[in-house]
Amino acid sequence: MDISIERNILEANDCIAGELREIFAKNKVLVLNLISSPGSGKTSLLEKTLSDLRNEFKMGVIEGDCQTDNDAKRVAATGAKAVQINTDGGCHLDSKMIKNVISAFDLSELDILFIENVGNLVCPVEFDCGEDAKIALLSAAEGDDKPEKYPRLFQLAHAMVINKVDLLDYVDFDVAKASKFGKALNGDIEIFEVSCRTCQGLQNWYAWLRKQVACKQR
Amino acid sequence: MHEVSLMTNVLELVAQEMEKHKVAKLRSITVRYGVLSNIVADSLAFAFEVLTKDSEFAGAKLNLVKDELALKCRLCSHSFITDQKDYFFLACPKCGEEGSFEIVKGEGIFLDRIEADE
Repeated sequence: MDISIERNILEANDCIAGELREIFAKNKVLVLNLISSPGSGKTSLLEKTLSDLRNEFKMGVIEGDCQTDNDAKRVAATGAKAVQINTDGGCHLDSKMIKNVISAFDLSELDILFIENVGNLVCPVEFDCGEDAKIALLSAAEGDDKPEKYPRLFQLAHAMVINKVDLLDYVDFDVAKASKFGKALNGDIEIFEVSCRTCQGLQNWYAWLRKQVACKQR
Repeated sequence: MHEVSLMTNVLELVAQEMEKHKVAKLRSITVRYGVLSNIVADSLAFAFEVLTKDSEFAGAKLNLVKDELALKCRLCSHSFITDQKDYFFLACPKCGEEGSFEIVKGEGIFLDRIEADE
């Protein structure tokens, strides 16, 4: 017997992501999925954001890593609630993993929930976690052709954060080139140049976050 | 990327469909994927082999079909097929508009059909 099917392989993931999106909408919590290579500074950006906006917003973090709870500890040191997911070698977080941990948060109390994905520019992009927006993070210590090499993420992300701009005098990273590729892939992408070390540019990132939270809570 | 976990999902769908259609012996499955899906066909085939080897699906065949990239120009609505993954740098072959396309086909991964006996 020949059976015609046409089923999306990711339908199970997309279905749970849809449920999560409803739960997040009901609780008016802004959910941001941070995606980057290992070492771009996802955890540093979160540490800064969680400390600097602590009096403004209630925030929580879901940390995804292959192993250890090092990042969850760093984030928890800011006073924010952090839950670690260890993927045990897995290259991405999926919606089921997120669903399994959201009961650890009082969502009705939260303004922002950050999902720090496993450091990887390819796999996490394909798995919807019910977020409002994906945030692509790259750093001046990497190649400025990251958007060109890994276009999918930059096509789908709402914002692109270029971290470690305090290193620009010492590296060959061309911000204009990276930004140009980002814009070519996605005309609507917001671009932020920041340094989590010197705090340069973070105010622009915070202003964008405030706008997104206001939109979500309207 | 994550071909083993994708193939695990595929086989879950296959099991569901076989139960639904009341068939027991799997002969083959056809999986279709878009050029933009970042699927590595060899890895997917390897995952299928490993995951089915000692299972109820042992001996079944995997057919992989790659979807070409079909684009539609946002300006003049001209539709065309390309094998260029970096399509965002293309110009529309009809009106010349650069980098403004809607993706009609070429994304995602689907279980297309299964062949099985009772």
